Amino acid sequence: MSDILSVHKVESGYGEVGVLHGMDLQCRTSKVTALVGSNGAGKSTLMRTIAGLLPNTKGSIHFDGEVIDKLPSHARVEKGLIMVPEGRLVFSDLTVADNLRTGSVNVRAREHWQSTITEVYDLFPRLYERQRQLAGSLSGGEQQMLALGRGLMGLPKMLLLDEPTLGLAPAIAKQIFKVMPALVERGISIFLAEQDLYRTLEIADYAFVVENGKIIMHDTGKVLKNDPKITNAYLGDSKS
Amino acid sequence: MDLLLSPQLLFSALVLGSTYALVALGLNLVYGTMRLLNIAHGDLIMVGAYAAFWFFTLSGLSPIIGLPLIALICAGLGLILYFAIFRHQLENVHPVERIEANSLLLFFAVSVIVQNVVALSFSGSPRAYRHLDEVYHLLGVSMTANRIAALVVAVTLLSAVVLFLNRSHYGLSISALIQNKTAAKIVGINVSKIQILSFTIGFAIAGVAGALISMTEQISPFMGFPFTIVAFVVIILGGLGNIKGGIAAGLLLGFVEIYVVVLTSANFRSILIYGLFVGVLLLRPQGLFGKTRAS
Ligand SMILES: Nc1ncnc2c1ncn2[C@@H]1O[C@H](COP(=O)(O)OP(=O)(O)O)[C@@H](O)[C@H]1O
Ligand SMILES: [Mg+2]
Repeated sequence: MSDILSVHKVESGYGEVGVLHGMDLQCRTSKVTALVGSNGAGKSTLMRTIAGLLPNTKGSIHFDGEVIDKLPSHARVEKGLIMVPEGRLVFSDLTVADNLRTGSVNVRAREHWQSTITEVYDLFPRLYERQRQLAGSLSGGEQQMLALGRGLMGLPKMLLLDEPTLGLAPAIAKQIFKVMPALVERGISIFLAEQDLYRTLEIADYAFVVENGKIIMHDTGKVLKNDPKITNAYLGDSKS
Repeated sequence: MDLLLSPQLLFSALVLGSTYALVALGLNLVYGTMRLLNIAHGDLIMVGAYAAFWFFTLSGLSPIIGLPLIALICAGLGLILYFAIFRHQLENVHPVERIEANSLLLFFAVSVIVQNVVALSFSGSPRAYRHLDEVYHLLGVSMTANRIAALVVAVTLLSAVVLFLNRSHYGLSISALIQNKTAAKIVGINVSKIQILSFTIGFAIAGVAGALISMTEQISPFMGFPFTIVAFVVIILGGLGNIKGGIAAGLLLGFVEIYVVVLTSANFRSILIYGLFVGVLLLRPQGLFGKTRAS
C-alpha cells in the first residue's frame, strides 16, 4: 500500500490571510480518502492548493512520487492530478460535448479523447442525451455530472472532489456517491471534501477531520462514523 | 424602396461589415483571453496598412500576396510587446480590474509611441496607392477589384477563425479561457501559452485588416483611432469576449452605417451609430449577443 498524495506541513491562504496552518495528510492509492469539517474550515483552500490554483507558502506536496508544489496547475493535470471544483465551474456557453473536450486538452489525454468520451457517456447517459446543449442550460445535478465527466476526460490518476453533492437533490447526490466506488475500481484514487458527513464516512476508506486549517483527527471512515465527538460536532450543522 | 434593395448597397454593406468584423476580432481575442483593453488596436491596423503600402510601393508586392508577411510583422510586434510589458501585468497584477485599468494606460502609451514613430519615419501626411482598382460590373453592381478582394479575404479569415475556435484543441482552449480562467486552469489548459497565442493572433489579424483597408482608403499615422472606436463599439455590441457575437455585430454595424447614410445623410452617420450603441446598451447591458455572466 502506497500513498499517491502526501501533504506535508502545508501553509496557504489568500494574499496576507493565512487559512491553512501546517496541514498534514496522506491519501492511499486507489482508495477514497475524505476530508470533513465545517464550513470555512479550509477544505476548498486545501483542494485549490493541491491543484495549484493557490501557492503553498510553506511545506510540500508530493504526488505519485514527485514533488509537485512548484508546478503550475496545468502541469499537475498532466501528471494525472485533477480537481472537480466546488461550484462545478463548467463552461456555461460551451456545449456539453465541448465542455468534455476541454477536459482532455492535456497532452497525455488528448489523443484518447474519443474513446474516453464514450466511457463518460456510458457512465452518465444524461450527458449523452444533452451533448449538443449549452452547459449553462443544464440542471445543477447535470452540471455536476458534467464537471465530473470533464475531470475524467483528463485521464486522472487521482480526482480531487470538492463538495460534489452541494446543493443537489438527494436522489442525484446518491447517484454521485454511487459513481465513486466504480471510479476507484478503475484504479482512480479519490480525495473527497464533503459536508454530507454520514455518506462520506460510509464511503471513505480513511478520513481526516479539519478545523481552522489544521487536521485535528484522522482514522478509518468506520471508526470516525461511530465516534460521538464527530457525530455531535458535525452532523448537526452538516446541512447548514 | 428600390434603393434599399439595390445590390450595390448590399455589396457596400457586406464589404464594410466584414471589415468591421475583422477590425474588431483581434481586439475581442485579446480582451477575452486576457482582459487587456487594447486602445492601441487601431494603431496596429495602421501599422498593417503602412506595411502593405511600403511593400507595394517599394517592390510592387500586392498586399493580398503579402498578407502572411504583414500578419507576421504585426504578430512579431505583438510578441515583443507581450514579453516587454504585458506578461508582467498578467502574472503579477491582481485583481483583474487592475489589469484592465493598467492595460488601458499602457496601451495608450503604446498608441502614442507607435503613431509618433511612424509619423517621424514616414511623415504625417496621408498616402495612398492604386492597386486592383479596375471596375467590374456584376449583377448590376459596379465594384472595384480591391473591394472584392477585401471582402473575400475578410470572409475567409473570419470563417477560418470560427472553425479554428470550434475544432482545434488550441481554439477550444481559447474559448474556454475566455469564459473562465480558473476553470481553464483546472482542466489543464496552459493559460500563459494560450494567452501568448491569442495576443499574437489578435495582432496579426489587426495587421491583415489594416492591409485590406489600405487598398481602398488613404492611410496616415493617425488613421487608427476611429478604428479603435469602431472595434470597441462592435465588441461591446456583440458581448465582450463573445467572438461569434462580435463578428455578427461587426456585420450589423456595417449594414446600419451604409443604410443610415443612404436613408438620411452622411451627417447623421455618427449620431445614429452611437445612438444605436447607447440604446442597445441601455436595453441589454451585456450586448446584443452577450449572455449574462456570473463573474
Ligand atoms: N477567495 C477567498 N479570498 C479570501 N478568503 C477566502 C477565500 N475563499 C475562502 N476564504 C476564507 O478561507 C477560509 C476557508 O475557506 P474554505 O477553504 O472555502 O472552507 P471550506 O471549503 O472548508 O468551507 C474561510 O475563512 C474563508 O472565509
Ligand atoms: Mg468549500
